[in-house]
Amino acid sequence: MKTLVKLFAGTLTFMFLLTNLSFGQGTELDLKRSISLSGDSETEEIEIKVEETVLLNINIKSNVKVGGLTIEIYDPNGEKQGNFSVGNQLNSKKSSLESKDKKYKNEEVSGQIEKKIKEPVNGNWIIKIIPNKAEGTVLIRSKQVYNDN
Amino acid sequence: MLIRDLVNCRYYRLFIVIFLVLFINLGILAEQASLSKQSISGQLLLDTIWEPVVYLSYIPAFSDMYTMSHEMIIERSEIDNAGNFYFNTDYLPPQDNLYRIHISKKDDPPASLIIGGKEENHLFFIANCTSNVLINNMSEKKPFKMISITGYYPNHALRQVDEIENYIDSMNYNGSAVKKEFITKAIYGKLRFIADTSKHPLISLYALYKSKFESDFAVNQQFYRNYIRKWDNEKSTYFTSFRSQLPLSDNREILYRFLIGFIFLCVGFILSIFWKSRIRNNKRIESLSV
Repeated sequence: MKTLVKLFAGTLTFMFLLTNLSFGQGTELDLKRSISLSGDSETEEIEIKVEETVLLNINIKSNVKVGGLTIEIYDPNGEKQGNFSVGNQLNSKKSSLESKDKKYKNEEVSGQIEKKIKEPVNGNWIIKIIPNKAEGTVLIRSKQVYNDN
Repeated sequence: MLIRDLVNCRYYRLFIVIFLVLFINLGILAEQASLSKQSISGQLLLDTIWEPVVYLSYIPAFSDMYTMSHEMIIERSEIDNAGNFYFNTDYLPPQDNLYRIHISKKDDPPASLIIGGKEENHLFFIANCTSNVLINNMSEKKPFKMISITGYYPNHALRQVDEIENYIDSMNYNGSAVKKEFITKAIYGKLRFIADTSKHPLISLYALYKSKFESDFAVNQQFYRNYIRKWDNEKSTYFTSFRSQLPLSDNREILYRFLIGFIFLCVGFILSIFWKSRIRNNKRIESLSV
């Protein structure tokens, strides 16, 4: 009986250790930031410092009720890695095809971008928030996975 | 006489059969032509988190691909229980343009754009007033990740460009930053090759946009000058917007400044000659006077 109990306990301990060692999960660093826009037009930059990261996950969600908002993601080399714009304005000239659904004209607009970058460049990744008399919110989440090996 | 000869001909029955076969085939072709009416349609299998509505937006320039506003949405279509949707397109312009369809979550406003991730909610394609575009997805969980577009031929090339670009993010580089840089440069080079060789202007320009031309321009200016010259006749909003993004006006500005300077020089020279001759005349008059 004692032998059986010892064997059972040993097996459980071994299984517990195995689950913690086997799946290659490294350390993770989660950051969250929320920004409220109240009709301003001042560009803001958020820096995400990346060093020896195996995976960088950036998730940005924005809701705009008034005005326009542009979000741009730059890597440490200054190259744009993603962007989106929400609101009332087009980057180019107004299109010749008009919206048939006028009732939604003044409603909220939302935009979201998710970037998963394997082995990202080391350095400061920049998220540029460029509002244009925007009223709304921006929620930024970044997750970095480090390899413990 | 001719009819009598025909009736008496031993091949009379054969002629009748051939005539009937041709007539029936023409009828079938006419029916098919009316059935495959120009449209953007298809089937989207959706999870319950999505509203059963699909929106069609017109994208006037490639720089507007990731812009969302209400004014871009030109039509909406309900999605029925089987996932079918339909847009009539006979009011669209006759030339090829870029369009986008998107769906929205039940918690999000109709004008919402999700880029990347399994909940990516939009798709780009090329269409005009006569094209027939068929869109079908294969996964409820990832509605726009596993999708097929058939019907109008340029969309096949559009998807190929997307697949080449997506290869950069899907690769494992095993910790080598140099390897990643080499592979990324090779992929952008391939996209520039597609841009240079494609005969369809929108596909060509789409591939160039995907090759991150903004950072390549400084080291490869001659390529872009040749590209602009090649598509000089393209007056679409896509090419107008693209030309405005390239700093190619430097040479023209220098030429204008040179011309203005030369004109002022000539005017100055003529004025000086005129002034000198006036002074000479005045001196003669003074020397003549007593």
